[in-house]
Amino acid sequence: MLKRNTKKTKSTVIEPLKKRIPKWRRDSKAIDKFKFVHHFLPHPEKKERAKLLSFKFFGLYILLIVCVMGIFRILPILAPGVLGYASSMNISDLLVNTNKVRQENGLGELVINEQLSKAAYKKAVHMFKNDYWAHVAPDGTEPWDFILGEDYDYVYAGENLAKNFSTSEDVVKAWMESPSHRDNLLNDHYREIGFAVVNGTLNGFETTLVVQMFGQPKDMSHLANKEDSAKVLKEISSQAVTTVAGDSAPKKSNSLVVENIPAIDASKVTTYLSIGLAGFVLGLLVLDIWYSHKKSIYKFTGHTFAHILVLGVVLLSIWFILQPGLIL
Amino acid sequence: MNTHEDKHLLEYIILLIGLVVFFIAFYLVKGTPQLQLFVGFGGSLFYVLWGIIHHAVEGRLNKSIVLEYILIGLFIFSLLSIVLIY
Repeated sequence: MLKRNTKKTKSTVIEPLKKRIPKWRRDSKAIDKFKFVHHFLPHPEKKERAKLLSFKFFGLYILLIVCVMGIFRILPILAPGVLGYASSMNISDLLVNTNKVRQENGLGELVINEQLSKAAYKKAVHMFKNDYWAHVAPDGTEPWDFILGEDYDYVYAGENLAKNFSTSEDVVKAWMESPSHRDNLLNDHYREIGFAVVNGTLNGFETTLVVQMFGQPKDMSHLANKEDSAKVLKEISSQAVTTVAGDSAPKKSNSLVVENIPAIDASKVTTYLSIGLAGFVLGLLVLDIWYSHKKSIYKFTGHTFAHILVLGVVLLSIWFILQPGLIL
Repeated sequence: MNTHEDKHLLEYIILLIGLVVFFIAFYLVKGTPQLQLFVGFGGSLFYVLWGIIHHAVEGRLNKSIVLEYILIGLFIFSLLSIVLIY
């Protein structure tokens, strides 16, 4: 009697419980699906954001970025030249774009000068061989030393530098956006110009250096003419070399387009990583607002809308404002 | 009339102004990554402080919310840093 009674009691307790638990909660596959979905969507019972928006995951995203930065610092030391900046520079475009902005500002066209181009080339090779990025070398060599070294006696002279850019248009655009470089591009005193576009490894990163030198010769009778430009441009293209710090046998190319294709493009990796991560988190936050509203989930957290606003502005800044390359 | 919604709106207007200032400053120092990094740090710090002050005013500030804004601030700064440095 007693045994029978116990059984009856057990079944009466379990039955209502079974009724209260939804059917899918007894299905392990459905439970796994529920768990997976809430990596992306807020949890209606725990009143929490999606797991991928938890503090733990934010810590992981930051750690991932820090790790990539660490690898990018170590890799150039362990394997110089593996990381770099891809580029495809057209030397002729550099001249055309420079003259275009001068014409737009009511200034005369500059003519390519062979001596200035040779000086620019020597400056670029000097930077690669001595591993520096500056107007004045660590040994005190100044841009004027390269110009005078080519027997170019000048009244006025100037230098613009650029590195890590992908196209020649971007280089001239960046120079125009910087007041000091713009002053050089739009200086009425200059009559001649010289260019060098050289590939090499600088501080462990494979990159392309662009050196632009301006001048006005003391003796104006030595002024180069337009007809010589094509010849000098060809000459410059044969200077387009690949040189590594300490490399004594640079490889020459014979094209007006100087290309640099490193094994890993640092600029692309970092841009895709940051835009990808920002976009992913932004998407999860939008899902959070939509799903929380749909299921009436009230969470005790920071403002999701404010996070969306901030991340949106950061994404816009990276997309529209950040430009590859550095000028000096 | 100083309702809860008005306060909320005012705080969001402050946030919007801060973000617009950040965007313009970031654009103005374009081409100088060191300055852009500085502006990025300023922007991240502004957002952390905005979040903390906003929740304190609302009377909903706790450790978890402070940590959330700090993590978002760090995340934003690290996103900008990696693109600006490399």
